[in-house]
Amino acid sequence: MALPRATTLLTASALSGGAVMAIELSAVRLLAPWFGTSQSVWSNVIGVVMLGLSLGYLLGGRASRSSEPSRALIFLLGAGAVFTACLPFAAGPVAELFLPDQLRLDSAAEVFRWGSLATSVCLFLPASILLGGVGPLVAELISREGDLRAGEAGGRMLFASTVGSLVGVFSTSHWAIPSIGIRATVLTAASILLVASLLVRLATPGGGRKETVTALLLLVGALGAMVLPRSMPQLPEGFVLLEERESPYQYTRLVEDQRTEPYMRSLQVNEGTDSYQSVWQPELGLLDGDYYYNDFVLPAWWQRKKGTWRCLTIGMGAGTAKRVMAGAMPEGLILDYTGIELDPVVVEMAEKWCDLASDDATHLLSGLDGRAALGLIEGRMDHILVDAYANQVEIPPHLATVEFFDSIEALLEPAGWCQVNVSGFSTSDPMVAAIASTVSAAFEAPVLILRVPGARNCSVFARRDSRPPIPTAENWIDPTFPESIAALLGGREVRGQWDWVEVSHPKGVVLTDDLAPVELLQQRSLQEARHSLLGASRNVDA
Amino acid sequence: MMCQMEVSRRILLALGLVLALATPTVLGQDAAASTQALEQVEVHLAKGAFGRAMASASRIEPEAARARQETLILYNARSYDAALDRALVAIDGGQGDELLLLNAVRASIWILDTEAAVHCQGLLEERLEVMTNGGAANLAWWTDQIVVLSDWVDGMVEQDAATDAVVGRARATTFGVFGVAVSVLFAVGFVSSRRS
Repeated sequence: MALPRATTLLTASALSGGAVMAIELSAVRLLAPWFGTSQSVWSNVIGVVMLGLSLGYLLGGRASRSSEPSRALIFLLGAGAVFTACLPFAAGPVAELFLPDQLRLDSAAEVFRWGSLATSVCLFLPASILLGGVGPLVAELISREGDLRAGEAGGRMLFASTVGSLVGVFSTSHWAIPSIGIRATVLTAASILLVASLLVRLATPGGGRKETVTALLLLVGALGAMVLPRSMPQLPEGFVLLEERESPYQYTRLVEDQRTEPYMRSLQVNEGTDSYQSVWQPELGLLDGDYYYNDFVLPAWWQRKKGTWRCLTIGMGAGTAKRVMAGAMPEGLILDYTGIELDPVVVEMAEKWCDLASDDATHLLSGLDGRAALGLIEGRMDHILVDAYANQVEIPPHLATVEFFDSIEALLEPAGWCQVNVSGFSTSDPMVAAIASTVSAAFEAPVLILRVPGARNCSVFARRDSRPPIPTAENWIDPTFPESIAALLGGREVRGQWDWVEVSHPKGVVLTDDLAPVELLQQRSLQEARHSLLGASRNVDA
Repeated sequence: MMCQMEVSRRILLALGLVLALATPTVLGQDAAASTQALEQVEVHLAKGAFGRAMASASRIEPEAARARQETLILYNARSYDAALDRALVAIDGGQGDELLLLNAVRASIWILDTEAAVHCQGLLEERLEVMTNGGAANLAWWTDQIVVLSDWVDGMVEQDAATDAVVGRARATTFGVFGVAVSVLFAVGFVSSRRS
């Protein structure tokens, strides 16, 4: 049986283009459980795939000079399919070669940068080189088949390939990854490449039956592999996996720490480090340990209000803020909570495992971007919490700008509170200083930075037309506060635990919608954490 | 330059002795004020009033005792980087005693500053030798503390070394695989051009 050659070749080119895009988009998500999905991981994956494709173009161009380019094309598509099918199973073992047993957040930037690059090179370079060779071979075959000029043949091939890529982009991002998961998406891409190889084989006159059978067997193998488990990072001893899901945004898992009672649950996304996005304990109220969530109750105590406390959280996660506040509000103050969370999968998992539920005093806005959703908020808030993170440790730039905090201020009651959780190693951390200076510029008011003891976080506080309390003030710890709240404030008044940013004296870069170099600040934050004190100790040696 | 500095230090020391002999009353008052401040620090620390403890500590003399107390307060207030910073300033000025060094090592472990931890741990071990030779009290307690801290610091050093090794391996693999890929492509190109 011989298929119409030109149409078959263009179809193979389109299928290959779609498969390359599926591999590229899945690649970052494949690495996410080990290296996250930061900008540098994206750059490394895209860079390696582009490098592979460019080398593949050379390879394909050279192979097109042979007397039987169709054989080379069948081989490249088939071999590309085999390499692609291995990706979900090889990702874990390869990534673990480039990760230490324990990884601290302050060392993470360099490890993630180099580790993700090395892993990408090992995993994605071979398949990219092979699939890069497809285009020139298809162009050559079309040119020979229809006696076309090189430009016309190349144009047709590029048209088919780009249309295939377009379909690959949309179907991978919007359907495949959220619906069938990463492993099945990659194996589907491998199967598509095998089908392309088979089509070219069938359209090539005089070919043997052996290659056809081999391709069919590989296809069955790739489809069968979809039932095998994808390699994932191991949980530490004493931790139990409750659920793991892929969403359009991230890989998410809920784990329970069963080493000590009460069991704590934590929501982790794309985690390659020891960080978490939300925690849950059976009891409502302050968490037992050094958690920044406990700081979320402070404005309600400082305000001395009676009645209803309207609180909006941007970046609700699994609803930790709500549970902490609900169990630690001052007497006579009732929490009315609104939470915005971008990832609906996170909310679904929280509803299942973390007792998150909508009711008259709990309003959940799921699947909405924090900034876009501000327009949906009715009335004024007493307290707006910003705890939005993406890619493990990155604050989304559009949720860190003067314009964003202007919108926040407009939603607050007079003397209402804006509180931002910022991951940072000290009050002078570049990211913390930038956020505090930005909030101060937006509110045109002084801002208090409080370090969270024993954690890598700082709480940034600002008030609409008012000032936060100063830790050195006599009434910093009100004698009427219960012991738990006094303990939360105790020790925060000493040097290094707090700072104050005045509008006239910003301590960091003020971020705007036009210029918000969040990624750069985050990198500097991690680098400075590693080196901040080394200078002092070196002076001692000198 | 060093000789001049040494002469200056001796002159300052001599001046200090002369001043001490000439003004016993003033120094006595200072010592009493310092003792009182130290007592206040203990009271405030027991209450967890760290800000007040720091204010009282600022009146403690001499500098070595003040640095020791301030480091202790900052450490207890869990401001670990500030505690380490304060301790390193004192150490830099040649003021570090064993209690200050102990808190400096603990603080550097908390904030995972390996280099500072190794440095302060080394100084603490040197200090233990001096204490051993001088037959100091509580020697067994100090030895136990140093053994425990030493395990922590060694763990941090090992972890840093493992991280550095992984980054080195990743770099070598990246350049190695890239080099091999390019070489293979050139080899393929060379062979096919020879054949044609």
